[in-house]
Amino acid sequence: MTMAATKDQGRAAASGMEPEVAATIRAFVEHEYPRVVAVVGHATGDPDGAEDAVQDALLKVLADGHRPDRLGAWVTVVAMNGVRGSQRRSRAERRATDRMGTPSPADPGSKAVDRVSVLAAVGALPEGQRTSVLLHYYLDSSVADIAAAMGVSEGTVKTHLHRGRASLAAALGEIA
Amino acid sequence: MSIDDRIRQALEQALPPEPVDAESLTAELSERYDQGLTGHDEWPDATPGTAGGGSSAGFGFPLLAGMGAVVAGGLAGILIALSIGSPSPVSSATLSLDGVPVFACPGEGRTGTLHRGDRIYIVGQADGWLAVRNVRGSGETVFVETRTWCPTTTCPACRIVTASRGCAHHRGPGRRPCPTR
Repeated sequence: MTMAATKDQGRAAASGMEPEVAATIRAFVEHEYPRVVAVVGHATGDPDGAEDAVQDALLKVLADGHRPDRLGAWVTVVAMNGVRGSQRRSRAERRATDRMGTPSPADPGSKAVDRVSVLAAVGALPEGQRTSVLLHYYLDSSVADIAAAMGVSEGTVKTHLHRGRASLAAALGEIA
Repeated sequence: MSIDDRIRQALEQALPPEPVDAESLTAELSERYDQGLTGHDEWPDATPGTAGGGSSAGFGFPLLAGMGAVVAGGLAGILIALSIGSPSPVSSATLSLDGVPVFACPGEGRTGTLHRGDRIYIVGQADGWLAVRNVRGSGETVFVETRTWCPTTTCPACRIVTASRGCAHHRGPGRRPCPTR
């Protein structure tokens, strides 16, 4: 047993928390949290609030008894939905748009241009495509995981990914 | 390189994950879970497929509610709501100011400085001082003068006392014992 696992068990024993929850929290924090925060921050245009949103989403998901095998996609979607419900959303998105700026002409050989172009292109995607693309390409979530998290069919996710990929390919100066 | 790889690579570069202190964050989240502080009552359903609808008017992140709402002290007339004497994390905010001094006890033993972007939990209030915990710090409770800054957010998860002009009623450094220890 690792030292971290021992700490989790001790913490759980002291508080009455289910050991499974403590281990789940640790695993999420260690393996998925930073990327989920990055995705939520970008997708909502509110990077400053992303950490809070993700933490609250994780706790809410766990408190409601959900234990999906891979929490990343699930927590991401819950957090994004929460942020989007905020009246602050429109203001945050305007700030994000301002930061994003106008993408430069694509230069397929330039990583910097790739970065700018792909961010702008992802930001311009419809919500379903944007979420699917970020979960798939950045969080490495499977189509099934994404579908479960978004509450849609796998076919819908595949469509989102296909269209999103085509848009991103165009932004990166390639033909999908 | 395939377009899929380029997309992955571009996203990796554009959205570099920021490292976290896994140990302290795990402890923090475990504590919050244990205390049932999962957010606001109006939080959307945690079933993602249903979370997007119907919750726009009930946004409930206490942290987001406080984010951006932290203002410089001395803003007389601002209505603030703070927990009184609650021993547990009750509200939170992200600092929009830089260089906010923190003390081990009210008026005594300056221990450091909070910076813009630091996330804190407000765990108590007494006589012009807030007891706060820096989420990313040691987890130790420290004290900040409401004259230095005060949140304009409310405190949904705790007992509420509304105090108009709370920041202006600062009484200066005290010699009182730490109120929440």
